[in-house]
Formats: sequence, structure tokens, C-alpha cells
Amino acid sequence: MEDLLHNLIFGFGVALTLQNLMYCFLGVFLGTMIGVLPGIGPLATMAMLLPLTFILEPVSALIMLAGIYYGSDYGGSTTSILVNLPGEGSSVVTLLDGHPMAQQGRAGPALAIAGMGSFFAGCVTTLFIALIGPPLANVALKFNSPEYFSLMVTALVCASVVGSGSLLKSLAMVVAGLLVGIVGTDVNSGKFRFTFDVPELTDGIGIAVVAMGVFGMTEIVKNLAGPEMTKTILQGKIQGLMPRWQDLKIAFGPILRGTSIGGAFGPLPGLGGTVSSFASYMVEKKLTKDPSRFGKGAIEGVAGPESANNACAQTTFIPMLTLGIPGSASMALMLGAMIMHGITPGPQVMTARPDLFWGLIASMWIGNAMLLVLNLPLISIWVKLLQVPYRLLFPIIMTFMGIGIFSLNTSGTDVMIMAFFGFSGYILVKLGCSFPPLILAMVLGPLMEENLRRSLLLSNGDPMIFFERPISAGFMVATGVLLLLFIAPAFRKKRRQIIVED
Amino acid sequence: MRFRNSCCPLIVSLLACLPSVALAQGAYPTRPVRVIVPSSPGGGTDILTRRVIPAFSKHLGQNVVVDNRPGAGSIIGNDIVAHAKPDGYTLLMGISTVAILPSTRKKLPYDALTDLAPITQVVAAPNIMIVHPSLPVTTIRGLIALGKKRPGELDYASAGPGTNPHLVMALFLNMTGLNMVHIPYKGLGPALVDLISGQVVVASGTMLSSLNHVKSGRLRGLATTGLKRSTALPNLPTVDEAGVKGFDVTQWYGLFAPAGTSEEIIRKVNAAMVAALKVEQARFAADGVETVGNSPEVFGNLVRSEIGKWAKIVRAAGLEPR
Amino acid sequence: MRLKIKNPQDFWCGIFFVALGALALYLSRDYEMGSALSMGPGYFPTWLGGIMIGFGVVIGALAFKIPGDEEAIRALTDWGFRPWLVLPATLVVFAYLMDAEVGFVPSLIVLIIGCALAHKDVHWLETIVLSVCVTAGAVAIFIYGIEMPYRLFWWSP
Repeated sequence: MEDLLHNLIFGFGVALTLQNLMYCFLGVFLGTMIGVLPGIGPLATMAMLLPLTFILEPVSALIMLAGIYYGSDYGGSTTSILVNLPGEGSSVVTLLDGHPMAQQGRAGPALAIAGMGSFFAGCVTTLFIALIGPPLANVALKFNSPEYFSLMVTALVCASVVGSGSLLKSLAMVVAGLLVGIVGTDVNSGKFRFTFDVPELTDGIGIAVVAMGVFGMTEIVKNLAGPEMTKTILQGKIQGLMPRWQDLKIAFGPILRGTSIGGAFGPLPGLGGTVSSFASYMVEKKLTKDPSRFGKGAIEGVAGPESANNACAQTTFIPMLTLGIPGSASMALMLGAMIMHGITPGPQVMTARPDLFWGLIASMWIGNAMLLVLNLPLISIWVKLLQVPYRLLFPIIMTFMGIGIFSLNTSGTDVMIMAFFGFSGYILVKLGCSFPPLILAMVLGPLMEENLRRSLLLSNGDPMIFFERPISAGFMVATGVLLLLFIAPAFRKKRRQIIVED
Repeated sequence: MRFRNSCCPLIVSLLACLPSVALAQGAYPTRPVRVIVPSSPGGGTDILTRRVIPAFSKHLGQNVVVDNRPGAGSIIGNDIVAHAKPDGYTLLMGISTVAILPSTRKKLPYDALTDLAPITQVVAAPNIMIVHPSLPVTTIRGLIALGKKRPGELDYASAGPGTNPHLVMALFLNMTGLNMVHIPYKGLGPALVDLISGQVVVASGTMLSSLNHVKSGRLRGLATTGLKRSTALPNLPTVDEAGVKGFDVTQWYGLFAPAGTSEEIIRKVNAAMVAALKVEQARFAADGVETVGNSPEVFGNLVRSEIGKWAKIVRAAGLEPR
Repeated sequence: MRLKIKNPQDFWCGIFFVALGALALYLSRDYEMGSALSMGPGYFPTWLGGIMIGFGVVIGALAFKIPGDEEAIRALTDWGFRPWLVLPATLVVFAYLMDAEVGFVPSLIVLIIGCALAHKDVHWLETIVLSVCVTAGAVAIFIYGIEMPYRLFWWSP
């Protein structure tokens, strides 16, 4: 414990130099701005600034790059809440309750709670990384294909919870999401599936593309449908910029739980903020006394996922720093940056370059504080946006959507795919379906299939592998229990409905 | 300092426009040059390119911009340059996949030999034959012996069917007569994760991705796959030295221009890149990457021979083009 | 017995899912199935297609038994055809223009004017002013701020 304190103080000493503070600020500032712009993610920004980092000291370079990465999470929720436009997968869940809150004039509290939740998560996970980072990374290594598969089955079963409306349609949307996730190249055989001979589809359809089409565009079409266009997004008066005391009380539990969920998912390579935020949303919806409030502006639906998001973003650093294993493309870039500076990430990094390790961790805390200070005053500006007449606002939204998605891969095809999902999305909305299960299934499906087939390959075709390994078996049992819990009441309800009709 | 860096390209490009407005044609290059990287930001190719761009830019006398065009295993990026205007302002940082693709894909939207003009080979690096430390082998011979004792039991990871790690491993198995189970992953990153955690035990990893792990001891390197020993791992023999005679595969990156680009422009770009590589040589060597910087003719011959070589390897691996 | 569709929304939803499932089955017809313990590329898609059709049939069938609420019935009649068709079309045109490297500025202007066509309540003068302002703002943020390598006009470098 004393060691830890000593190390943290040392870390703060490194991080609080004027130079590092400057780069930290630059990083988080850029990250927030990039996060607000839908489509463009931190990865491209980090890559563009990479040559700059050659000239810098390694610590400063990493502090800046890291700032961009976790800073973008703060900005991502902004467009989700204001205009129902998710910037990336992890912001999708935020719009489910965040946008209704904005429509009710409560955009300020929504944005504020998102920021505060993220800040809390950031602080706690920083401590967390310092305390049990390295041992946690080793636990994460125990998570292999069978464990991933079983975890995803559990998650998928819960996926129908995220949808509103009929259970049957939510389940069908899960299947639809799984089908969309199949588009691309099959890992095991190399075969192209559902790609219609379009080369851009051989790597699959990006989640940002689908999410922006299905949520962003559909929302615009909905607002333009009918003889009278929506006047403004606001459907009432603005009710204050800051959360009420009551809001904070309700949000406290979700923030705590979200942080734990995000912190648990972060170190697992391959799972990202999207899964964490969905998981948090599902947990909150199940734990609350009145689940029907969700989807209509329940603040827990914003607080939990946003905290999960940020917690995940920070704990993702653990395997990269302590084992040299990047969990995502952004981490791979940071890894590359470290290697370029001659640092070999691994267990020795903590002893060989303590200034780097502890300085980075301390800077995360500082960065989160800066982000909170940056974002809170901006809320009043964002809220003013809601008062812009919609007929002027929606072309601006479309512009950002178009440029944002085009810039992801400099590809017009992506924009066309988004247009397609907007087109089909409206049809599905009219048919009474909801999209969160589709998005979640799109993310989980390919991972699930890949890990299922790989587990069977490794076990030489023995399906018992899922039950022989303790963690995997645990998830399978959980799935069974959840299935019973979900299906039983639904069955009874449908039976009662049919009986009443006859 | 940082503002200067981000304003610098802007100022340079604004200044660069002035002469081109004043004169109808200046000497190449008169405006910023685009290097297409056919993979996503943050990957090995991308980082390597971004490392060499500042020096390259300086020697070329113009601002050089990296343009990531990922997709379809580099086909999209390659195709863009293959069909771009041959005015020297669109270049390709091609991966050795350029030579592999003609054998693994039935239809390519471009022809590697007729649509792309080679400029210079930028770097070359061998793969490392790596195993999980728990495997009781420390040499290639040991691995071969173990493989013969347990046919069909050892699992090896690859970055996916038709990728470099897969084909190198397939060649190894073919030349040694071993039988191991192929476990494909979506890219080398996830493959290495599973290799480190021990879920699979063997792989042929690219130098860029695997050196770090071999140095830190998380994975054990047995040999490198080139003809000469790697400068970053001088204690590791080559696979050829270790008993598999004639085994020689390297991964390389090279600069290309669209076919039809004038000789003069190619020579200029070649000179600039060769000079840039001399500057970065030491840093790259520390990462096990050998800078090359040869002439367009030599590079062109390499590409041609590589295409033939990989065609044979793909056939030996029993891979069907798709 | 006369079959009356009590819930048109659910009925068409069922049809949609059946069609989607059928499409999936059709597209995966050439992929190898393999077996349950050694799945080929076609295993997952084929099963999903089948399950999708199953869901479609159930949802559609229930549409004959369970009456929909008012919202459900109104949903299918209140269809916003104009924005539904114009907005995706505008994006597609924008995509083509950007891919053809016609230029950042012209593509954006076309996009915004296209948006204006999506609803009759949008006025021309307003649109032109808006397109100029938004394009200027976008150029400032994306081309100069983030330094994205897109050419401004078709005659630019």
C-alpha cells in the first residue's frame, strides 16, 4: 500500500510538469472534439499525430495519445443525446434514454450526468489500474475462445431486454443483427459471405455506419414525415442545465455498477466500449423498479453506460501496458508508438520505466479532471443547439453524417451503406421494431461464431470444452438460468393474451 | 512547437500552390504528394510509413500526406493507385501481399505487374518462428521432432487464410512434412494474444508484430525465416541454417507508382526515399527491419520473382484461390 | 372462417422477416455447411435464415389473432415517402461525388440542397444561405482543422 502511494506520488510528479500538462490538455481537447464529430474516431487522429510524437519525449507522447483516446468518449455522447446520432458503437446506448431526455428539455442534466459518470469511472479505474493492473492482465489471458463464446451467448440472451416493444420482434432483430454481422470474410475458410462482390464489404459492415443509419437517419426521416415538420428537437421547455439533486441520487448506483462492468470488460482483448455500455444498460433496466421508464428518458440509462464506457476505455490500457497485447486498433497504435520510442511494453515496463507507467496513470486522472472542466461549461452551448429550427438543423446533421462516415475509410461505399440502413431502418421502425438488439447482435454475432468454431477446432470437435473449463461453464449456467427467467413470464403473458382474445 | 507542426503542412501546401499558380508547369513535385497505405491507421504498415515520411518529405522537397485506404487485404488501396493518374502525386506503400494476392484471389481489379510501376523496396524483414514457452522445444529441429511425434495435435495460429503468417507456416509444414492444425484468426493481433495465453502453441509471426514479445520472453523465438540472420535477433539461426535448406521468405514493403509514370519522376522519388531510408536506417534496424532502398529495376525484378515464388507456396499449401 | 388481419403492422413485419430470411438462405446456398461440430461457412447463415423465417411466420400469424393498437394501425398509413426516399438518395449522390473526387465543396452543396428537397417546408433562399454557411464551416473544421486530404473543387490538387 505504501509502495502504491509512493508510486502514485512519483507518477504525479511526472505528469504535473508544465510540458506534460500541456500535452495532456491538447490530447483530451482533441479527443473531445473528435468524439463530438460523428464517424471520425480517435484512431485516425492518433495516427495523424504520430509523427509529432517522434519529436516528443515518450512520456509526453503517450500522455497525449492516451488523452485523445479516452477523451473521445466524453464527446461521443454529445451527439447521441442531442440529435440521436451515435458517433460510434459505444455511444449507441446513450441515445436510448439520452435523446428522449433532450426532447423533454433535460439535455443539460443528461450531458452533465454523462460527464460526471465518466469522470467518476475515470478516477476509480485509474486507481484500479494502479492497484491490480498487472495481475488483472494475467487473469484476462485466461479468457480464451470458449470463455468468449459462453460470455457472448449470455450477452445475446439478454439482448432482447434492450429492445422496446414486442419480445418476438426484439428477438427477430437479434437474428437480423446476426445476419448483418455475417457480411464479410469468414475467418476459418476465407470465404466471402454476403458481400455481393463488393470489395468494400469483405471486411464487414462497420458498426458506426449501421448505427448512424439506423438511429440518426431514421430519426430525421421520422421528424420530416408528415405534413408538418418538427419545429425543433425540443418538445417542451428547457428545464435547467444541471442535474437535480434527485437525479444525482438515482444516478449514483448505475454509475458505480457501470464502472465495475466497464472495468471488467476493458482488459479483455476484443470486447470494447459497445459491449460494456450495452451490458450496463441491460443491468440497469433489469434492476430498476419500473423498467417501462427506460427508452423514455430514464437517467440511469445514461449514467450507467457512460461510466461503463469510460471505465472500459481506461482499463483497455492494462493488457497493452503490462503484457504488450493490444486489445484494439487504437491500442495497437499506442503500442507501436511505444516501440518506436524504444520501450518494450511488458511486465518489465513498470520497473524499467516507472516514470512512463506511473506518469501515464497519473495523467489519466488529470486528463479526466480536465475533461470534466472542459465539458461542463460547453453544455450550455450544446443545449442552445436544440433551439435551432429543425429545418436548418437537419441538413447540418446530414452533413456531419456524410463527412463523418466518408472519412472513416475515405470510402463513399460506406456512406451508401449508411443510406441503405437509413432507408431500411425507417421501414423497420414503421413495422414496430427497435434497433438496439440489432446493433448488439451485430457486434456479438461474428465474435460468437468465430469463437465457437475456433473452440471446436481446438478441442478437435468436442463440444464439452465449454463445460469443462470453469469460467466458460459458469457463463453457460448463467445463460440457462436467464433463459428460464425471461421466457417463462413471456410465455405466460402470451398465453393470457391469446386466451383473452378467444 | 506543436502548433508549428500542425500549421507547417498547411503553410507549406499554401506556399506550394503559389508557384503552381505562377507557372503552368514546374519541376516535379510542385504540390503535396499522397502516399496511399492500404491498411488502417495504427497497423504495422501505417506506423512504418509514418516513420519514414518526415525524412522522405524533406528530401522530396514537398509535403507528403499519408492516406489510409484499408480494405480487402490491401486490394482496395492497391487498386486506387493502380488506376490513379501517373503524375507522381499518388504513390503506394505496397506490402508484400502485392505479390501474394495474384495467387490467392481469382479476380483482381488490377494487375500487379502491368498496372503498378515499382520505385524502390523500402524495407524487408523476415518472420520469426515462434512458440509458446511451455512447448519443450528450443530449436527448429526440436520442433520438427515434436511435430513428427505428435502429428495433427499441435495447433498453429495465423492471421487468416492466405495471409503471410499462414503461408509461411504452410511452406514450413510442407518442406518438413509435418502435420499441424491451422487455427486462423482475424489478423495477427488476436493470433498473438492466443499464442501468448497458450491456447495455440506455434506461429510464424511477422517481425514487426512479434519482436516485442520475443524480446520480452513471453514467446520463444526459434529461428528467423530469411536467408541471413536478423540484426535484431542475432542469436537466432535462420530456418535454413537450422535444417530446412532453401527456406527463405521475407516480408517487404515497397513504394509503387501507377504504371506510366515518367522515368524522371520515378528516379526523383527513388532518390528521395533512398536518402530518407539512410536517415532512418539505425532506428529501423533496432526493430529488426532492414532498410533497402534499391533501384526501380532491382525492385521490379524482386516483385516478379516474388509473385512466382508465392504462387508455388500457395499451391503447395493447397489453398484454392477465391 | 374469414381471415381478417387484425394487426397490419405485425402482418407486414412478418412478411419482411420471412423475405429477409429467404434472402439469407438464398445467398448462403453455395457456402459449405459442414457439421455441427465442424462448421463450415454456411452453417451459421443457413440456420439464421431459417430462424428468421420462423420468426416472420409466427409474427405474421399472430397478426391475425391479436388486434394491434391504434398506433400500430396508423403506423403504416402515415408513411413519410418524400424524406424516406430523398434523404438516402441525397447521401448516395454525395457518396458518388466524393468518390469521384469532384470536390468537397460541390459535394456538400449538393448534399444540403438535396436535404432541402426532402420536405416541402424548406425554402430556397434559406437553403442556399445555409449551404454556403455549412460548407464554409465544414471546410474550416475538416479541411483546415483536421487536415483531411480532400480536394476542395474538381480543379484543386
